[in-house]
Amino acid sequence: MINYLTSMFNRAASMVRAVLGVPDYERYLGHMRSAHPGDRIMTETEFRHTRMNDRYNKAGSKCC
Amino acid sequence: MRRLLTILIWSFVSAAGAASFAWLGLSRGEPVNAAWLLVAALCTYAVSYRFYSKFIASRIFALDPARPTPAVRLNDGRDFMPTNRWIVFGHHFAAIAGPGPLVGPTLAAQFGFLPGAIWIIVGVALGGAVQDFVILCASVRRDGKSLGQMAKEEIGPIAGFTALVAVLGIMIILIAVLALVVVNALKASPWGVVTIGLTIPTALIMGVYMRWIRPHHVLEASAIGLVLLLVALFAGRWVASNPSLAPAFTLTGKTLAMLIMAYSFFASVLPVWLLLAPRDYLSAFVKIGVVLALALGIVIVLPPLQMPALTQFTDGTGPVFAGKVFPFAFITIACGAISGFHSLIASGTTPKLLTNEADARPVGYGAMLTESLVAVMALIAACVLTPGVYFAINAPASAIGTTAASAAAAVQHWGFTLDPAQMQILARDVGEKSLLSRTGGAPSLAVGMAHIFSRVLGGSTAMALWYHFAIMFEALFILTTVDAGTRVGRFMLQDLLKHVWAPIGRVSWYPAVVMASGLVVSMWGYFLYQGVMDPLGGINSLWPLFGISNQLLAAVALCVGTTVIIKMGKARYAWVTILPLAWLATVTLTAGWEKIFSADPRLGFLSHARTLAETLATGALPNGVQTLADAKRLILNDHIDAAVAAFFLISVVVILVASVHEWFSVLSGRKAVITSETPFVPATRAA
Repeated sequence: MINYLTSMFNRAASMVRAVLGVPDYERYLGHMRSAHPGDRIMTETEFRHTRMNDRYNKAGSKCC
Repeated sequence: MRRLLTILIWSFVSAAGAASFAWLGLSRGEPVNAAWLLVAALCTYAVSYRFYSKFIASRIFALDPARPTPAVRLNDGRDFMPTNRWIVFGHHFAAIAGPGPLVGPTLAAQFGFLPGAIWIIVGVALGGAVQDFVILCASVRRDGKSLGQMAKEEIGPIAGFTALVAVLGIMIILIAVLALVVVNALKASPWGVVTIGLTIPTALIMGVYMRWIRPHHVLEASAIGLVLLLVALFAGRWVASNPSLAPAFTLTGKTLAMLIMAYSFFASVLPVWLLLAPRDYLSAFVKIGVVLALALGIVIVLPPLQMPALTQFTDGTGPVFAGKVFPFAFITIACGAISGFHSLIASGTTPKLLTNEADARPVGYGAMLTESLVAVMALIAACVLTPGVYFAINAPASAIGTTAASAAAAVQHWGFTLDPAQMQILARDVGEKSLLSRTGGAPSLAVGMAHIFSRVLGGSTAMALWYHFAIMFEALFILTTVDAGTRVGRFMLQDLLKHVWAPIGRVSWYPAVVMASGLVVSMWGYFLYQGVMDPLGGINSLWPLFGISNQLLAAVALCVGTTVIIKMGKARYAWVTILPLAWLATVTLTAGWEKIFSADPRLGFLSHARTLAETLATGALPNGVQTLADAKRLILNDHIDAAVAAFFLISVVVILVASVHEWFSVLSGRKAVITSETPFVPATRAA
């Protein structure tokens, strides 16, 4: 029961993060490992900061 | 059998929608219940989604779930990433829904509820949602290209360049007018100033928490931020009721304008993680929460609409902004009916996330319908106020004077009733000294929301908290657009200026960053300051400019959409985008022309300048103007506003001519069809 609730909570939390547009490092990691093995992988901090900067530095992330 | 049931259900939905519209349109005298407006809206949305968006999806684009999307083909785990349909929907909705659909309908309520209601509901079904959907489909078929790139590649370089410059122009006007809305809401309101001011340290705390204390725990930081927002709300009340502190936070419009400029400058220069991103998260939570709460509140209370269906101000004599119902209702309400800005988002992040082409329908068309519903709710919240109260809050001091008695006299002269004591009681109930001439739409919307919320929870004793909660929500929301927009404007400017002097394009070179940020802030700051100083309230001249610019961008988007449709060989269906395009072009050109050349000095910038000059020539000072220098500056501002409007008009014409030329060249076979559409690659497991 506790496990079920925790997993539900985690799923809801990851959904909220996705809607907010918070970059998902785990997915990036999974993608890089499966699709581009051997390529350099950014650290979590590096990944989050480059993603965040990308998002706020171009038109089309926020509207009136 | 099932088919029969479907036909019956959809016939019923259509009939219910039509009946609600009829009820709204035919009501005279008695207040109509908001429920009719909601039913009319929801039924129209359902029918247009079910039939019209399906028509566009299948007949025009032939959306094919088997056709791999950019997210699948180009998956890089960063920009391009296949994402769940509902997450993309939420993400897209959070990006498109800004303060526009809240403010526009509130201002347009001066014509009565009917013009706004019809335009929001019909405009979104045939215009706004079509634009978002078509641009999203076009971008998905072009590897997620941006609107500017598509304009350049599909129509031509002139259209592409015009679109680029127009976007920067729109940003400047948009930021200025939104900042002006905040200034007018916080002017002489210590409670509001303290609450909004405290959201800045709140964001800094969240930023530091996510950076050093618990790295990357966004939701924890947001929870802390939300608690701190509540604290800020009560801190504001405490300060406002403290006679020794309150005067220090009772600020004038000028001071507030300077503070907002300084804040935005720092937000543009400081690292994103420290201020911009945390504020954005906070604003997203508050936004979704308030929109849901407002929907719930309206459904529970089902308030009657006190505003008549039509007021006499459809003739253009309205105090909130000048101009007749045509074209100005359609300029004032942009977001919620059709918003050109959305085309930047529909060709930005969203097309890079769609897992399945068919998802473009709920995301592109569906999310815009949801935004339209937000606009309908804002219209309801504005119309639950009695017309007397609405006009006392939204008309500038030049129209109603500065005392409750003069306001009541002016409102009665217009044929509505207002008891002077009632305005004072209302102001006290919401914890303000005065609500007269709080132009810009935010305060009257906040009063309307407080009215609805307090009937669900707390009663009249909670009015003040609800009012300031609503103001906090609007200001937080608007300032998030202002600071993010300043930063984006800075990057766009650096990108343009690097052609003149290369080093200024270096985005991490501090002198360039500071210079470009300062330039952007002073550009919109100029318009903001002129709005604050304007005796007519500023909104009167700036909001129509914003509407025209936003509709200009929508015209660009619809030109791109039409070109794409024609080049796909679907010219027989091109009316889908040509219809809203023709309407928008008519509205924008008429409104722009009237704003520049109208002989009515309340409406036309040039005749207003002339009237001021004539008054000065007689040796007197115009009404509400203190010094000769101020009067001269007002004349200069009129000329600048006229030039800005002319720039937008010329841009519309340039884009239209370039597009129509391209259409005829392609259709007559004089020009080979060159399109940037990515060919259909059957699904193989992409590397």
